Amino acid sequence: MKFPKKELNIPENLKYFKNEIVNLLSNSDDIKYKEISVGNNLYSLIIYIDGITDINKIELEITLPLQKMQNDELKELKATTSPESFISNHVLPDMQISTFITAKEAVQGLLNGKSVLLLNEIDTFFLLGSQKFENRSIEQPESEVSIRGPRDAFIEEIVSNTSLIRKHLPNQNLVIENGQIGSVAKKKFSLVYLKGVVDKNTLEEISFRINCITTDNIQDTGEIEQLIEDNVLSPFPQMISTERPDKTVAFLQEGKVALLLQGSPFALIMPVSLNDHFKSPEDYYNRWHVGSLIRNLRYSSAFVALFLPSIYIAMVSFHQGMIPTTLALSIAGAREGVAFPSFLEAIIMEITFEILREAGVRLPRPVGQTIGIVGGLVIGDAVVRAQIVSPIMIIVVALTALASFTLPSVSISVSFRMLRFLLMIAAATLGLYGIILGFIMISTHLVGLRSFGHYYTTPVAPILKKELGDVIFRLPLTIVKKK
Amino acid sequence: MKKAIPLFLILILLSGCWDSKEIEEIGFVMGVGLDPAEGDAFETTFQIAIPSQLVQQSSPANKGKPPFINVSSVGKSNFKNIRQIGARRSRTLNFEHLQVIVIHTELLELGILEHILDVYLRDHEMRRRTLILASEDPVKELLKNQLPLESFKAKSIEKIQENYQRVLSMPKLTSIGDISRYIPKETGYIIPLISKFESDEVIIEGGAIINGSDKLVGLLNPLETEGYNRVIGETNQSVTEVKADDEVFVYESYLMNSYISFEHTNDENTFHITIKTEGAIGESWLNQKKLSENKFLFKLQTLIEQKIEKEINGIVKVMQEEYYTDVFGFGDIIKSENS
Repeated sequence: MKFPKKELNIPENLKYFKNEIVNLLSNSDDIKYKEISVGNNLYSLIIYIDGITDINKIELEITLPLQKMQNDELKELKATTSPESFISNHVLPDMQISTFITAKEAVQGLLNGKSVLLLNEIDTFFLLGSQKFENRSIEQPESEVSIRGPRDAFIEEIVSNTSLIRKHLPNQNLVIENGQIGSVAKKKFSLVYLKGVVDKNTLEEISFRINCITTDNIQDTGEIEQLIEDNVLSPFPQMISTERPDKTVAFLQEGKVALLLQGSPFALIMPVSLNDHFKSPEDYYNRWHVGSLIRNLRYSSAFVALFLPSIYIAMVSFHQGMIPTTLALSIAGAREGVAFPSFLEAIIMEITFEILREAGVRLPRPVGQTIGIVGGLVIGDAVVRAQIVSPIMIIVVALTALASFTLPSVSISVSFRMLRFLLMIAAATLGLYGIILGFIMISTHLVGLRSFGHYYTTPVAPILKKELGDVIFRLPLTIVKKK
Repeated sequence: MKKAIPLFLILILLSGCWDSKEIEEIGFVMGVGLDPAEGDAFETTFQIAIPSQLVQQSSPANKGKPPFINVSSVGKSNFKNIRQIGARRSRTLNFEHLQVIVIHTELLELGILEHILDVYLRDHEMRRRTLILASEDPVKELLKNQLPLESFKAKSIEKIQENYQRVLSMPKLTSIGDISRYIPKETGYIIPLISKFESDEVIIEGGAIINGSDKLVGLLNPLETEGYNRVIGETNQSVTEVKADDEVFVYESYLMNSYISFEHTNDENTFHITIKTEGAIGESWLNQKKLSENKFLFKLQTLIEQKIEKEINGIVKVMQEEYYTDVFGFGDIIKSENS
């Protein structure tokens, strides 16, 4: 208790405290007060923030019981040594109640939707759990669509997200560790893992890194990812973000840790290796033949997304002898009259595609169809007619674009798209030799990269024979037992 | 990483697009013809593809025009002849898609095969798959005009040569790779012979016999070529016409292999050629009733055997007594037996 009690009469006492809270909240207009008298000489004040509290709850479960208090009850309240347990047991039995000491703590509670109850004559102040945030309902995942398997996705409310994980994994070893992040706006985060499966050192490292964050406000798990990743310069994502609870659960079972943040519909999975980016939960829901084939398709798509334009450049401007005769002649015929060398042609088209893609993401949905028309008709057809690029280049760009979208992790497809440009430059300068040099550079970087101390290329390098059955192929579940 | 990025940039910025040559700035040579010229010079004919005409062949302006040009140059060396084209045509020649090289028999008679093909054997642009053919007619004429079904005359020749397993009178294909193996060896070999057929067409039939010192010693006629093919066992899908009871039937083989073994007894070298074949009567002009009799079928078998034996004896005799050349690779068998 920080304010002097004896000098002030009853309402003054409450006023003082009210002012302190109002000052801390910069006199914001959405702070509401409710003064009620309880019995003969007891006054109470309820403070809450409009919009994030349940007014019905305040009315029915706080105000009403307080007003109904009998005189003998009041006496008992005054006499008792622990008013907190008296109130929670006798007066407001349905409420989540906690006490606080300083006004700062009270404000933190208020910002999280709780309401503050002050009673004069009683030395204790109460935080009542009356929060009610507006949430959207659980919907289908937007960025990770699947044909078979659960269709729910995380939302912006962390409690719903942990409940989704609990729903998909009713395991007694599932641990949810809560904490607060951000130095000014404190936000709740949860570390979710399976006790016994998770590596303790990794878990310690993760919590250590998260505790080191001193940023004022964190909006999304994407920011945390950048603040705690091992290598900031690497083009490869060292964590996976997913909005699917089933994918999260699958990773938890492999001993990985998931990080959830209040207000972010994306869980952050760590530590991950490169091949985790190629895994989709659907691989396991389908029969193993299908799963294996599709996973292989994804690997080859990644190859195409990374190398196809550069191989085209190398072939067309350096190694014409490597193209089959008929194809070489038709490429030569198609390129006749095209103004730019193949490298510029490829760069122009790849950048055009990136523009189209970015525009497609930003365009509001009602005008979204325009992208198809602009992209397909104007860029695709007119550019060829104007002989700015050859029709073969359109095929290359389209194939590359499609291939890069087959990857289940958005972040890895972005890194492949970035590296593609690097390889295209390498191919334009040194041909296939340049592509090989670029590939060697990427490979050396990959084998050295770590995610929370774990090698990024496991289980291929270093080789872990037990886990290999789930890398290139997805062997039958009877053979590869999931943990 | 911090050191690698500037190094990579230096590599790229300093080298630029060194050595790059866009595909549309290249003249793809599809075929090469070598003809004798006056003095010690020879004439090289290049068949250069025109890719744009190939792509837009259906357009009325291009109808009937072949999608290639033939350019000839005369000189004493191949390289000079190739470079001379640079003074007359805009595109530099590229030999990576070269299909065939046709050499006039007069040049082969000089025994200069090793030198006249030197560029095509050793240059980095050349591919070992390129076919070699010999011709008695001027090669310049052979490469003229388009032969329907294929866009380039050179491609047509290459495709025709690939039918050798189905046509008995056409010897097995000889590629640059084969030639590079043959030249250092002392044994002889056969180069398929191409000749003019009617006005515009060509026919690959018979072969040029080259002896151990890479000199042309004679020509195989189509019948002799059949025997040659049987000895070396390259006749799996062949068709043989056999006469029986004044009527003809056709033996179509599915499988025909030859095994050559060597024996050295009493200072005499003997080669045994064993032919194993399996097949069916592909076409019959015989009496149907007779065909159902086992006895008659055995008779037919003997007739086929006799025909094959006769052909083989014919070609071996010609080689032994007329040309003194080992084109069957008997020498190799002795070498492998002795080692």
